[in-house]
Amino acid sequence: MTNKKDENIGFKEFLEGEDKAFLENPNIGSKSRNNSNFELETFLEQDSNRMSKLIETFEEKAFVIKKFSQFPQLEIEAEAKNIAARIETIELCTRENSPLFANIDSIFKKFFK
Amino acid sequence: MAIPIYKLINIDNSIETSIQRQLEGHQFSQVPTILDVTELSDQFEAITHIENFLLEKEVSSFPYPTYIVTKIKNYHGEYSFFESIDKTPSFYWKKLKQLNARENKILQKNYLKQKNLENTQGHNFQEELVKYAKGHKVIFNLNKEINFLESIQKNLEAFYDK
Repeated sequence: MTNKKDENIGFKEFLEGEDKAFLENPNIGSKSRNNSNFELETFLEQDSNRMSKLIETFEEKAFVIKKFSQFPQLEIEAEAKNIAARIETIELCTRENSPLFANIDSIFKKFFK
Repeated sequence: MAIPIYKLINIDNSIETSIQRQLEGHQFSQVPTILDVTELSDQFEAITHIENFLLEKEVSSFPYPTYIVTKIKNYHGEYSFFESIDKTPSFYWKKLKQLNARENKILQKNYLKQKNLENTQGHNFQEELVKYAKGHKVIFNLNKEINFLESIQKNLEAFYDK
């Protein structure tokens, strides 16, 4: 038991927070410089990651987009679908009993009585 | 090799030659830069000259951006505009300190990446990305119209099936 107490000598004040003198002096050798919460290091690491992602975007993705663009084919496909949808819609709208004609008919009747 | 924290330049005159003199020699894109014109009486003129200068020098926002701080609201231009310095992205607001060995090593690595990024700028990849985005918008609009027409068709078919 006495041995354990001896082991705690010097650490007891530190653990209980009584001796705070070391906190008040920010210039304790080189340790204080290293003990900067790694804020700048984290910041530089984040910036490094950011730049890696930019390089990846510009070098790899933009290169693929430039060399193997899918846009012309996709545009042709979308335009063909669009034209087909328009034709089908017009065909459905121009049937004799279509609601479009019925509505136009009622509007004309209302205004040109 | 500078630490990438904001470099603030207070523009002190809205005359073109004065702005050119102030901005000439500054290493844009190598550190994030804030150009503050809030103290000037004719901010619009100053911004126009700054934009012309930056476009002429082909200043890119990569790897580090250039921000312009002005009190003019809803101004849209080639670069990013903020109403006050406090509203600029906080990422680059860091206190300048003496670097330790580890931090220096990361900074050197970042410098190489920065050079790599600068080299890719020559291939006009940014233009390609803009073209790619515009193409997507065209396809999006076409598909939006197709969806609209299909919804009309669905309603009409339901009407005729009655």
